[in-house]
Amino acid sequence: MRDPSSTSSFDSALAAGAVTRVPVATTTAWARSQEVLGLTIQRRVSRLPAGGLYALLFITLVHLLISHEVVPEPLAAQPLRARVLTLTRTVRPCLIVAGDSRAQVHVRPDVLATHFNLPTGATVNIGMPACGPSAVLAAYRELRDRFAPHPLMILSVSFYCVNDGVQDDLFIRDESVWSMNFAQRIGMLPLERALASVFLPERALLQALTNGRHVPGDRVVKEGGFVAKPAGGADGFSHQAVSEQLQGVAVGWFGTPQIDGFRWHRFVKDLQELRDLGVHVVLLDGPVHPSFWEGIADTPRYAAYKRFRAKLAALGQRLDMPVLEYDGEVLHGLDPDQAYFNLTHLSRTGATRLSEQIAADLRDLIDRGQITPPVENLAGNVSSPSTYSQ
Amino acid sequence: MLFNSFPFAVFFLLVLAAYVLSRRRLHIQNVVLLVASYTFYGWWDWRFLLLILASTLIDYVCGRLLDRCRGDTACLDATPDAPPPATSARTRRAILVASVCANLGILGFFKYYDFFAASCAEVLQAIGLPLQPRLLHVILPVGISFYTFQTLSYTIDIYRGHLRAHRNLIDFAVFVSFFPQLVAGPIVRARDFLPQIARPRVWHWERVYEGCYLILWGLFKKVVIADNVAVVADRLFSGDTPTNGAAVLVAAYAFAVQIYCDFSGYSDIARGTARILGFDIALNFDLPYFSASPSEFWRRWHISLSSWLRDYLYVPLGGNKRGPRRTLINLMLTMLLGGLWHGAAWTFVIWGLYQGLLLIAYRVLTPSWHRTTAALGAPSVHTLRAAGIVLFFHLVCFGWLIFRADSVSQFVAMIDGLVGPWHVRGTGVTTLVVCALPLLIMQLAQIGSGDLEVVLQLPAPVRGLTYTAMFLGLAACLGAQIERPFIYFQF
Repeated sequence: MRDPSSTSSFDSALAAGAVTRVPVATTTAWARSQEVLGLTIQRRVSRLPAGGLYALLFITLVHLLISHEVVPEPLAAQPLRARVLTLTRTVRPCLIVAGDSRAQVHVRPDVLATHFNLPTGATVNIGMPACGPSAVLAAYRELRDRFAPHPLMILSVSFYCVNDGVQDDLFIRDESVWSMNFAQRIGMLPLERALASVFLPERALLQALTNGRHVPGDRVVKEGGFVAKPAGGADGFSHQAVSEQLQGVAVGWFGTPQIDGFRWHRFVKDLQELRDLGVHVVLLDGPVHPSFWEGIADTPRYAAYKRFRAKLAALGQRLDMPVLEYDGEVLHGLDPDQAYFNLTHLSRTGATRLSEQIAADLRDLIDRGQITPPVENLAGNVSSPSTYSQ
Repeated sequence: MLFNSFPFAVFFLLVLAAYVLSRRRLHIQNVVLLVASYTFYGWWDWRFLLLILASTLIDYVCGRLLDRCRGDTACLDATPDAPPPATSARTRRAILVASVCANLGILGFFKYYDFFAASCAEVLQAIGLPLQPRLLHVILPVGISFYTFQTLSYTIDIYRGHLRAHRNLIDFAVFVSFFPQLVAGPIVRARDFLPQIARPRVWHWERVYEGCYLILWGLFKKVVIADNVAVVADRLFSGDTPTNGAAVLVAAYAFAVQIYCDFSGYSDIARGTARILGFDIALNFDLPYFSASPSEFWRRWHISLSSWLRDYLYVPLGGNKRGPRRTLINLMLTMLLGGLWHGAAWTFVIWGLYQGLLLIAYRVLTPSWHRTTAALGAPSVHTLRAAGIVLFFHLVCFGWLIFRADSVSQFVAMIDGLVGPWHVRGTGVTTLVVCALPLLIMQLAQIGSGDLEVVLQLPAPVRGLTYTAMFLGLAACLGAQIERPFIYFQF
């Protein structure tokens, strides 16, 4: 403690006028105010939810750890994973049909297998509703050991898979959301889903920890994963049924068409990554019912769809990936109402015809040396019985 | 609007903002609560609002009329400016009967009409009198059993002279429809809750933190534990899995965990939400699976309902004051009606019967049990209690088999399965164990500390870790699955 009677550098400075003396009353008030401020801060700090603040810190750290180290990439969606595991129980397929519901109901693996003289199980259809390229990539990345090395993949791509303007967010799967930034999520998804998507890595981790619970069923094995649909579906192609379907397509496929944005770029990256993983990709855009074209004629959707096809063709050329685009001609001789299940999906009859055409076109591509024949990939691919089914 | 949904989160934040902004004016704050409660209830179906309005008005008017002619009954909170008492006991009784009939009439019509009509037809058909009853297939309004009991207790309390009628209709309407506990309880008593509505609320941050913790823990129990265990229970009860002894046992355990976490989770969210708004709602679950006897279980399980049944059914029937035999009959009647309260199905009635039998057996056997243990030199109190807890937990689980079974025949088939072959594989036991583990850890900590909110007493970093685990569990589960409604909504 300083002795007030002693002469110090402070006094010298005071004498020299370098500092000014503050009246005692003022300093006391200052000290008191400091004390009050200190107490106020202390009280405020003591009111802070310390546990909550720690939690905020821990949540951030754990989230960063999970999203960057533990699960840095999306995992296969549970149903798709189960489907792949079921379809690859005995043989590692070398010819894969993948993509959304259109892949699932458009291509018969057995027709392709017969054409290329492949054994049962070597050709599979892993298509599932709304499974775009990102979902296929996630599944392949995680389960690539279940497939033959360098398989040939026919990847069905529908317009909505690359459309940022789609209005129904069911058509934007988590695997796509994963690589969006937060602003894109807010722009493309309902608020609730956009917020919840912050914790996609945690959800994926939980899924990874609980995957073992799944017991694969036998239903999808029947036709190599192909799901046959009846002609005309439940409502047929009456004027009302067509108009209702067109309304659904307007929301689910088109919305406000925007095919130059995030999802297109993501699509390109997904294709590149599939290629880097050793997959020979052939892109497929199947036919749609004539009423589909009539319904969207003279609307911006028609132009958007045409542009999509042009972009797809150009991309195929750029990435050296064959593109199989089909219009109604592929089904010539068939009554459209018999060949289609609805405006965008084929019936079994239509799928059989399309599959034959795809097989012929693949053969043509092989003959021209543009793709490797799947039969060559098959050599030595038959695996031991799956450990999964044990 | 479910507590575990995004719309509720937005709704609650909006209500909270309006509530805080109107904090200087109590009546406006109560109007905010009323509008919020009606919005919350009308979210399911706006037509339900007509029912709750009718129930509110009936009991408000009956309460006021009872109060006017309250006779010589002394009121606990009588005020000097109260209206002069009239002395018509008969009128008072008539008013009470009108209120009870109106409330139970609404409840009976919406909840039990089809059940009783179909059951009567079956009985008549069995004795050779075929009858085709006209079934109405009325939708059961959510929460009707809860708010009906709540309003019933109000008029009965006024009739008994335990309470004065509330004059402010808005306050009374808030009491009936208070959204945190409207659709699945706890059933609050007017004596406890109306004074809280009538007095200004004071904002305490500590209460807000406690409320947030209760909401977090309630959501964790519901979304992470109950909903994941529900997958196991649903599969086993759906009949897809061949019934075997292990499957039945796992089904019973799984449903025990599911129903507890589902219902107590809802109660915790309700209490937490109410606490943030400045209200205290009574505890509804006090570690019920650690009960060593049926009477203890009913003091810990759905406390608001069991205490309601005790005060407004068991005691008026005579309770234990009219001799041992009458006590047993009263117990059985109370539990039968308690079972029926849960739903219009014979499985609920049988469940009530089973619970009644347990209570009766406990009451009858306890004295001789004490004599025997005293004579033989009983093991330590702790050992006895532990054995009692394990035994009684299994008796409760057996009861849940009856409660959850879709029909009496399914229950019988499951009991048959218990004596059949036992295969643990494929029953989902791993999921059950993993999901139940956090619950067990928490409950052991609660028992060890003697504090249900033990987490709030932990050092801040440990508390933070606990919150982190709960939050991340929730975040991983919330978006991944379909929102399941709370089980008790159907009651």
